[in-house]
Amino acid sequence: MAMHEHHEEELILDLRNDPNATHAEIAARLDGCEQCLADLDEQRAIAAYLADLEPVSLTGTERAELRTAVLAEVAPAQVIPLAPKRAWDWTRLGTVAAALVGVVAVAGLFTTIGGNDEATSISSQDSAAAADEAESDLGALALEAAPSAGADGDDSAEDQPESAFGGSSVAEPSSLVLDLGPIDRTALQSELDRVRSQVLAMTESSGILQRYADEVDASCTAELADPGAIRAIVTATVDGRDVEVYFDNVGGEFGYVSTDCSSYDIP
Amino acid sequence: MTDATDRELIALVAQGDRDAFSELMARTEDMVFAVCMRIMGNRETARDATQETFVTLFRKADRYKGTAAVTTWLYRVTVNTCYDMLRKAKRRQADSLPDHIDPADPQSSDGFTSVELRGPVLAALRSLPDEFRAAVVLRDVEGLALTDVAEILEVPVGTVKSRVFRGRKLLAAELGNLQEGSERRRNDGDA
Repeated sequence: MAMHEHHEEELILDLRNDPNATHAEIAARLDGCEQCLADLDEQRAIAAYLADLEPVSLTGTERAELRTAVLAEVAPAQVIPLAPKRAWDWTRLGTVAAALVGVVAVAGLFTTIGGNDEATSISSQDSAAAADEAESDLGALALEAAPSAGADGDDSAEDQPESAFGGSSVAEPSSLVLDLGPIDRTALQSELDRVRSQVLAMTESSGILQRYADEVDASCTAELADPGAIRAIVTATVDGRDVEVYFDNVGGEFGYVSTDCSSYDIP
Repeated sequence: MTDATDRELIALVAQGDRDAFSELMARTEDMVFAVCMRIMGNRETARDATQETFVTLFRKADRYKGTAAVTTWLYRVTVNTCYDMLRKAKRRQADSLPDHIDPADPQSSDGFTSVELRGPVLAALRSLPDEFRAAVVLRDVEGLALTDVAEILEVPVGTVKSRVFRGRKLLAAELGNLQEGSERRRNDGDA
């Protein structure tokens, strides 16, 4: 039965497609099989029915909408220009540097050197002479700070004086750890020297650095894809969050990047 | 541009020529929409499928080898696009099926139903398996030769014959059921 059906369905289709075949010829070719003749009639009826279906077409509005939508979709990809590097912003620059140097001040200066009362008493209100002296120490310490500096800072927390950057805390030793990784220390030294005079006049806190880190997350760009643009990097943990502070080699600009975002910003 | 052949146009489209693309689209949009309409069974999804087909045409024009007519190739893109959309719709439908399924409400729509589908033929078409429906639509509604349908569906001619034959038989059965159902409803209404 299955064989018969398979054979006849092709034959019936061929017959249906042969407009010249007469009923007698078809009956002969189907060996007088009534079922096959019925199938043929059914096939012819359905095919004729489908051929007579009203053609469908788009309405004028649909046509216009379709063209607009398709052309919009195949439009060349928009190239979104990277955010232009902003002009040097001493306030932001100072903020990040302040946090950096603040780490050193907290985690290094007061522990590594230990008992340097003159240095620990530096504040933004101090005389220029005192500041200069402290700057010199801080600059050196910035490059000498070890990953364990934060732990050291913890040990001496009780002895720590008020921040060098104003009344509020620069950063708690327990929450802000400076880690000098594989960096170009000469370049970092050079940049730290350059901003040092600004840093001591700042009254910043780790909270501000944290806010900036949040801002970086919110405004990531793809520029960090070019590692050659980075001259030096310092990784810090602020309130349990990784933030990399780096020096860009483009015109000596200063920027930062959060490590949980593959982008950076130039403040 | 309007004098250019389809082959010339598609060669330009492959190079990103949007004017050529617009011209080719103007020539073929009704043909594409008609096939989408018969296969998708719903005007809204047919419009989406038409749009998707032309986007694919633009992006893959360089894959046209010139061995078949441009319209044959475009039919193939259209049918494949419809298949993809139907598969996705079925997956979505399966994903959203509740644990407990209430008996079908004959008045409710299933997402494919539209005013056009209430016509018995289109409703019956909609009931066919996708491969049978595409074969029947291309052969009987679009009136293409079996060899062209075979080329579009990328199957042997014998397979097309079989799908068309079985598709028509299912269609006839479905139309009979629909007819009987509507007569029964009419009688129930009269009673």
